[in-house]
Amino acid sequence: MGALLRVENLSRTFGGLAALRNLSFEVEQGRIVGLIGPNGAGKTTAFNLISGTMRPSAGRIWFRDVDITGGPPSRVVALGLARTFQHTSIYPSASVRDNVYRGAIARLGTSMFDQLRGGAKTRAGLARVEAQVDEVLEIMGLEAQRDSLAGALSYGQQKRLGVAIGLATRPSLLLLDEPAAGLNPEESAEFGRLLRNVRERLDLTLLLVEHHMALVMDLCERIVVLVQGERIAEDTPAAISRDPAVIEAYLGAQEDDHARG
Amino acid sequence: MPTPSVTAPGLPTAGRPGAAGKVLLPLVGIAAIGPFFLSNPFYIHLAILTCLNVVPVTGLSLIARTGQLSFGHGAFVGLGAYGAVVAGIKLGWPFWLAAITGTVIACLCALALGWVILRLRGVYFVLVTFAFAELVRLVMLDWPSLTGGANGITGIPAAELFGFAFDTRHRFYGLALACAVAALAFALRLSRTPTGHGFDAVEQNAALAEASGLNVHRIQVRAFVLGCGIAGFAGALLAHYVGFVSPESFNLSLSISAIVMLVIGGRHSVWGPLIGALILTPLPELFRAAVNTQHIFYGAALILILRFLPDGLASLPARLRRAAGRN
Repeated sequence: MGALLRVENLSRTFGGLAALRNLSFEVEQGRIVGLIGPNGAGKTTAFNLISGTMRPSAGRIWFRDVDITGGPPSRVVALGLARTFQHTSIYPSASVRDNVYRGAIARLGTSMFDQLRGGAKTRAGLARVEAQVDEVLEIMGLEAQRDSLAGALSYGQQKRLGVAIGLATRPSLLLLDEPAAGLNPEESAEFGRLLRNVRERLDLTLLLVEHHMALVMDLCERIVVLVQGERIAEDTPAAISRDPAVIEAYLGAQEDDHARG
Repeated sequence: MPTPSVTAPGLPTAGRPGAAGKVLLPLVGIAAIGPFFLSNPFYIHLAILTCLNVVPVTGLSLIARTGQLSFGHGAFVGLGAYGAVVAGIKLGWPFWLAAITGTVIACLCALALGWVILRLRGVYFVLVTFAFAELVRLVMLDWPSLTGGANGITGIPAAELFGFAFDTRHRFYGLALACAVAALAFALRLSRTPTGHGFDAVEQNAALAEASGLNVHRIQVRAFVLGCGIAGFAGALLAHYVGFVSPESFNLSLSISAIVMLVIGGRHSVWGPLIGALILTPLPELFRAAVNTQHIFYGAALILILRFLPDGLASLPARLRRAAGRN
């Protein structure tokens, strides 16, 4: 049994443009791994490929030694790999509790007929689901908002709810796409503590894409650096922050960003 | 079964009636008994048609709950009607078996069609369901040995269950009412199961639903098959009430009136189909003298509702409550 997640020679082109070229990396069980890089480096593309939302042009993805290349996402989630979205993705017109509940019901595994009948299996399953919903709401600090409309939550609370929905699917690996985007430094540090706590309590492995360098350096145990679709470095945060190639790519790319406006 | 749902107050997705519903539902219940004591055959006829509309519109509401709009719902009513009539007349099967046959035929067609086309989104799905409905109509027209062609099939006997014939209007109303109540009860029950929550999840955010482990395609196919099966069952009932089927009975205008009833009644409420059918079945009949104004009325009502009350009349009580709370 190797790493929890193995990405091998992953490539994806859009038209003639290579968004991702020969990306390979591994995520060990229990780790917090960061995927960083300037805008357009292919981080979100990598997430879309791993979660099965998108098919790679080439390469393979292994999760728990099962080939999950090309999804579909619902199957990948069933195996225990869930994701959150860069732009907060919730069900705004449903209650917070129902949002989390909808994340948990895929694991119920009883037929529609048993559910309609209110059969014993469904009742037992629903009791488990309820307990999970309560646990996730408590972990993410959303108990007080339980009956509020999700769309009425503050931005920070909606970000936490997005993670809560992902947690409700009971993943062993959670992909977080810019969990701290749009949060101020204190909120972002708070989010980091929250994620570490989540990892401890749920025995989780985390892979995150993030722009907040302070958060990434503080939280992650390993970092993979992508530049223009290619991996240029993979190491511990301390080593990454000293890596001349990374520093140059980053500063260069930032200048590019400014030039593009 | 413990109710698996706690919903925020005033939610349009809520299946349970609010304060206004608690007053209105018993009224509707009492009104539903009324036709048994009416002697004017026209009013009983309207009551029967209302029930026969509640059933297929409830079916359509299940499809709409997963975020899809079918423009071919009338064709599935037709498939159920023809399936039941052919099984009843050509094969001599009893009514209950013929009705099940019609329902199953509608389900199978929906499964085959849905499996292929439910990957289409929005307007493409609408267009393909529309094209399918035309196809069904043409098959009915051009297969006279089975369907009687343009003349249709006449002389369909009255429905009969366990030796009891529903051969008077009053008796048939009893059957139609029972079926309408059953359809609504099914939709209400379903909306409270995890499967029903899955439908809502797909409608409100399909990408998130898929990322939560819900197989969006399978859920939409399931809703489509259920909704079309209910439409097929309604067709079997309708054929045995009217006593006659023809391809023109199940044309586009039937699909459109089902959509109009659903939208005006309320797409996101279990009670929407009931409200839509209660209001829109009798109204056009009262304006019968000016047949052409019917469509103008439909169009105007649809525009007004979509503009001012997008969740239909079913959302009115919650709206009023919120407006009252603000003042």
